[in-house]
Amino acid sequence: MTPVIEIQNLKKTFRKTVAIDGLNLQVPAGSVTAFLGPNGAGKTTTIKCLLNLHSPDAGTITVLGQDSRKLGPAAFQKIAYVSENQELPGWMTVQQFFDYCRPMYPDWDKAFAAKLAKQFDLPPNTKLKSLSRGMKMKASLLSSLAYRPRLVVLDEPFSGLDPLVRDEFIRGLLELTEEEGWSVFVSSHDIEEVERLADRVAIIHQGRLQLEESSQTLQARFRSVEVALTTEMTLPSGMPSAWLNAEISGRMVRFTDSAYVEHRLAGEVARLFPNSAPPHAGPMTLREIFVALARTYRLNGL
Amino acid sequence: MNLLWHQFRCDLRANRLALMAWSVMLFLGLGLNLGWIEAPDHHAKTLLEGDSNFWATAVLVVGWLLFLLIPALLVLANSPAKTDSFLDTRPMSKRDLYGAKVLFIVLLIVLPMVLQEMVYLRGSGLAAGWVVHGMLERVMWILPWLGLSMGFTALWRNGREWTAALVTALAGVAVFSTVANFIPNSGMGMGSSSRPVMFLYVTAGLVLMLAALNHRFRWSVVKRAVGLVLILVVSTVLLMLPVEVLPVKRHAPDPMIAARTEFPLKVRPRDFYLFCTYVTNSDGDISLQASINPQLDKLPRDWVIDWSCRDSELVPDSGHPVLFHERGREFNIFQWQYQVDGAEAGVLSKFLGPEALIFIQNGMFQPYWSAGLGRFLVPVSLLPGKSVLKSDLTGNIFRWEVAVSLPVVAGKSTTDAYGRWAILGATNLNGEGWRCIQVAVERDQVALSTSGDPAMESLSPPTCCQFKFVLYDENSRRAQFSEQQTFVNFNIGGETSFPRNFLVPVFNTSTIYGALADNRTLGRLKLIVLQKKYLGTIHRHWESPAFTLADYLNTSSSGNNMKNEQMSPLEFNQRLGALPVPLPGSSRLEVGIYLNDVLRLVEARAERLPDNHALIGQLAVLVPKHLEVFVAGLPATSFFGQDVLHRAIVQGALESQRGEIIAALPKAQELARVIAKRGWLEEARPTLNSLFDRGVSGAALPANAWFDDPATYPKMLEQFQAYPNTYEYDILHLLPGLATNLDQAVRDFYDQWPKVIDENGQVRVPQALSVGLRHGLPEALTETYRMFELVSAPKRRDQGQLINTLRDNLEIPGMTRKNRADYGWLATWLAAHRAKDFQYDAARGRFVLKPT
Repeated sequence: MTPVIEIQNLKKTFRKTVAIDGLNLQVPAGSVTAFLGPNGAGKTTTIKCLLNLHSPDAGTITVLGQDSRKLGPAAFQKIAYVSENQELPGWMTVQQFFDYCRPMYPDWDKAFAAKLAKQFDLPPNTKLKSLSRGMKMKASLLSSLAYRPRLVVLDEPFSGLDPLVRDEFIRGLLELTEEEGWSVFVSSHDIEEVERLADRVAIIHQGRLQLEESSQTLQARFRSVEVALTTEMTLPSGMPSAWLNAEISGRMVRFTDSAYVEHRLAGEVARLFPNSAPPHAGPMTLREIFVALARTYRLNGL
Repeated sequence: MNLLWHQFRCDLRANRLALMAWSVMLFLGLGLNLGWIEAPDHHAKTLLEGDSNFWATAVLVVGWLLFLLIPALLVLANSPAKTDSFLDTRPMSKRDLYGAKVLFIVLLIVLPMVLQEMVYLRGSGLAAGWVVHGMLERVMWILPWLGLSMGFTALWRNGREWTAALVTALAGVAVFSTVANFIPNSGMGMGSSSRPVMFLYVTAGLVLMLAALNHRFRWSVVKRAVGLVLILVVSTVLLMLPVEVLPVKRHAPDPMIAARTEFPLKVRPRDFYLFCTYVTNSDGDISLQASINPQLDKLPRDWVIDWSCRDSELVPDSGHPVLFHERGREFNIFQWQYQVDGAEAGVLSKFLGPEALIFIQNGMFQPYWSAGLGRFLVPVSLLPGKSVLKSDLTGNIFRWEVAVSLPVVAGKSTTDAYGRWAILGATNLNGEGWRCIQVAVERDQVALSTSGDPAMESLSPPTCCQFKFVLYDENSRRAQFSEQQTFVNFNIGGETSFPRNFLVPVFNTSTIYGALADNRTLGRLKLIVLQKKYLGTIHRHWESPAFTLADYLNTSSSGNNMKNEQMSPLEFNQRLGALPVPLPGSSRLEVGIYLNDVLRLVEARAERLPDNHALIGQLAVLVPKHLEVFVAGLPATSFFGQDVLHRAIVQGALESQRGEIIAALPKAQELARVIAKRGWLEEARPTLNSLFDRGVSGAALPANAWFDDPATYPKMLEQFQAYPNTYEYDILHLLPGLATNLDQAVRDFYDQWPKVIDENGQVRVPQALSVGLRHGLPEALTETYRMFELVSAPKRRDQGQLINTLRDNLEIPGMTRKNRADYGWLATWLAAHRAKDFQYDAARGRFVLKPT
């Protein structure tokens, strides 16, 4: 399937600060890709580069098959962008705002917009500047979805939202993406925010991509492993590199197997811990996987 | 295109409050211009006191703020400095977005502003050609300001940043302006240069470019600020460069001027002046100020010429460098037009006819004013040597014309080539210090800074002196120039387009002649407006003959008698007696101090000492050894001091000092009297003749005339023609060979110079009348008698000069030594007669009563 976003060797620096350093990333069509990383990792810069808000220093970005540097009004009729930092014309009421946006999009679906407005419970006659942060994000999202875009780019959309609103927001977005089959690229510094949403995950750290994989395969290859020892001992040398964050506590050894295959795990455990019981390998949530990775990458904040 | 209109409507809605305020300001401006709102109360004294009009000022300030603020708001709504502007990721093309902004500004800011003025101007009856020219010029000025406002705003992401930047920038500009005042050639007057326009356009263009680059590269605040400072510096440097980007026609000679290229710049040696202003440093260098009084042959009587100096160089023989203080600081000539006023009286006289009497107060009548050639720092050592002065001069030529003549009746109006004149009203004010007639005049005129004609520039206090106002009473044939005029400018939108001006000439009626009219009869007066029109400019180079600096250094009188109080003879003699008299052999210093003290007392006495006064003899014995001290004192003291000195020299000088006294003549022409009295005239003849080069003083002219040398006639006549006066006439008319030429000179002078009466409590008889009377012109007697008869009877005895003039030219039977100074008796006798009672008696040199 043709990727909706394809980033190759992207580099971007701000004066002496390297924001993006050789980033390569593909976002398949129809996927919901979570773009994760701590604050300052380069998420927003990547998004601004791919939306032609910043010029890359090197590398190429293709968005919907078009060079990002050449994205113009025609391309933006198929792209939705919602950002926590984006300014909205606060003097407009919600309805005026939608009326303002509508002529820009030939595919604007009035009925769909009305349905969304009802779904998001947006007050039509209230000025945008009087709305809460969550309602503003909903208004922005609605104005970006009503024309049924092919690609939805969300930059930290949940930042600062209270849990209830965030849940509503995510639920609405989930329903829509499932119904419409849109491609979504959502950045966040908190895995919990996008755990339910994402079917693919990309992790960026210090401007470099650390991981890019579907949630399914990720969860399939990660296991939380516990091994009970008969006698106390220290961690042996020569443990597989796929075992992450190994630690020993009394007669219990714990680690994360990032390349789980049942029989291979049993064999390695028997070799390294001869006097132990058979290992217990439990499935991991995405959050647990990221915590494990965070400890490995020293990704503070994940 | 649809999105362009869509965005336009959106901006319209977003800025509706600001636009409403803008509309209100435009309507207020129109209302003010059309007099719907707060027409100035021209009857009140507030105009005289210079009160400004609150609403006009408020509308002007608020209007300009909105004019700059609305475009800023428009830009800030979608600032290109932001990376998260809402429209950056929406399908709105830059063409539609910026097109909508430009359309907004053109349709809602520029167009209404221009239309507002057009409505007013067309309503004022101005020619369509001027209106179109003015519209274009208005747009020319508006565009860079809009560009600056928008470009500057586009550098900042939001209102907070913009406000902070604006406050900082305004503070910076204030500091810069203060510093720029000390930079030569940084003047901003559009009057004679297109550089201010260039400055605005270049600055606006560079700021817009900076905003575009910032949109591309997202510079830091510091970098943006540095960019703005650099732009200001670059633009200012361009402003100071002598480059004109627009054709400024000011200096292109008018065809009339071009046809008169034969104008030579003639500066007679006596019209070249050097003044020692002050000693500037411890080395004793002297600061000299040079000026000339250039002559223009064949200058028409209604023309005036204003000279200014572009560059000057004082070149000593020794080659020693002389510092020129003011190189490159040519004055803005049109700021100083009042200095060249004078010919207007002649134009008025021609307009009203020879029977009109023209009254002015504190006026001056000469068609040119001396041109300063700058100041020089000269080492004392150079004073005895020869030097030459080289100067490049610019002469701006104007012609006075009668612009309009209107009855002083409220509502009367007329138009001329540049606009409309209207009488708003007239008031006869009494009391509070002085009586005057105040006429309120409205002048609506085009003001185009690109026309090249100063008459079309905006009227502002310096240039409004291009008008002179006269009240004329046809009954009494009296015309009176205004003493002052108040100026109120109502121009909404600066000085770049079409000011509505209120001029309030004030005519002093606290004169000995009484009011021209009372409130009931004001309407019979006419207001005549004289206008000075620019004709063109000529450039000349002038080089002086070689001269000795020391000969030109003047010292002024010590001015001890400033209080105008005479010292009594008793006190004078007591104080004089208290002074230790130096012996003939005393030192130069002792004699100098004594002479200084004596001269102070003589000046304080302020009266000619009797012939037998002991002081003359005491001083005379000092002359043989200290003649040079006496000679040095001559130009430094007043008339009475000079009299004492020259009598002492006459009495005390030795025959052997003859050569020394003759040689000192150029420095002290008063010595001519000594030479005449001592009978040394023949020997001094070459020196006396040489004085003509620098102008012969009243003291030396009799000595020159004594020779009755036809070779000197032309020079004497030229001197008389330059400044005709009775003193010189009395000397020259004794020369039979000069009679014909003198007669012609007097008649020319009488015919051509207006009989302007300068009245300031005391009537000063014009020189043309005084000289005419001396020469026996009956018309001069008629005019002088008329002046006398116009004075109300009780005040006639107070008019000393007028009575003296008549007395000295009339044979008055029964006049004795006693009643010769009795003005009451003289006034009564004069009032009992008429001009027609007299006839001129050439043998007696005065008018005598006709035989009955």
